Amino acid sequence: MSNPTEPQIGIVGTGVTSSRAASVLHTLGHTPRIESLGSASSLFDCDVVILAHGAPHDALASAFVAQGVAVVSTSDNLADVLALLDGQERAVARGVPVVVGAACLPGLSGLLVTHVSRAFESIDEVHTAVHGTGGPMCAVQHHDSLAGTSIGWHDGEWLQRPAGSGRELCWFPDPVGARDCYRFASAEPVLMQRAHPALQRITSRVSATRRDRLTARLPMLRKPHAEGLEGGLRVEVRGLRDGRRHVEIVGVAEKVATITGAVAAHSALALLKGTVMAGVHNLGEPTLPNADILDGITASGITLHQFIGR
Amino acid sequence: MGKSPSNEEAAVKFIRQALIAISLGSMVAAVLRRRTKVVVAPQQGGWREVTPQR
Repeated sequence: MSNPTEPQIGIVGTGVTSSRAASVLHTLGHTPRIESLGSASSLFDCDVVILAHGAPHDALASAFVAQGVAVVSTSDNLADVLALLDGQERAVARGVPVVVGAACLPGLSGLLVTHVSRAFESIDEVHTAVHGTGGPMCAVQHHDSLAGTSIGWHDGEWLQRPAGSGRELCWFPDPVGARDCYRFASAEPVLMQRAHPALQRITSRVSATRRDRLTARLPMLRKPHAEGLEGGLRVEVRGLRDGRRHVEIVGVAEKVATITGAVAAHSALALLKGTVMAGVHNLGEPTLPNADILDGITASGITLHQFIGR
Repeated sequence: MGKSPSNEEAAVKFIRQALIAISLGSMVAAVLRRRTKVVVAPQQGGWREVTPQR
């Protein structure tokens, strides 16, 4: 039983991401209340709620904000994230902080860019890639994202390209290794540009097989796996250091649900401290305690890797 | 009734031209493949574990 006097953290969703977030919170002495989407309203008395069910999150997030509950959303769906960002005025009016895109990509990617940017005088390019999926809803999102339109930030303009195009071989930390990655309908460039407005170029890719791309515009041919077997994240940051061009590449090799669970849990704990001002935020923005959240994530067992070499 | 000699000649000519085209294509491909530089994967460096420093 949870202590009624301690801050209450709720988790909406009963899947693998939800269980990983709960596991992280348990190890830190918290007892989150987990509810399915259908009974999410029973969490209206919580201080912070993590939305860990499949997209869309916008309507439920608005309901929690109206109840004065701080929200952490793990949605990486582009349309859903844009709708969540539109809730800025509601969140400010209600005095509630909301963190959107608290997942792997977006999420940990934003934290890593902010962390790595300290090694530069200025950064102007960020290129990110993700491999793997979390739970079944994440697999569905991966499938759909290869059939839509991808957006990228290029010299101060939003460029739209067909998802599934732009193949690039991206190297992830072992054991993932090299994977063919493609543009996809991701919320990452939007959130990255919010966190780092000086960036000139932002791209985001996802690993996919030929079958993924061929069947992207069809319904999923088979039921998605309960969880992706392996996952990875790669963040490449370019900019100026000592007056010269410099590149830093960092990555993670871990199951996507585990990464997302850790990111969401530590984002919720950051909100619980009450130091984040009201409004809609995303990880990497200076309004969030990014270093504390990243420290918490690595302390939860997520190992960061840096690419060293030529 | 057999095919007229002109039809047979045309068929043989078509097959011969097709074989020549395939042979020429194969030779060009072989030359290009031999001349193409072999892409060497990075031989130095790799992923190293890091701990975020404040």
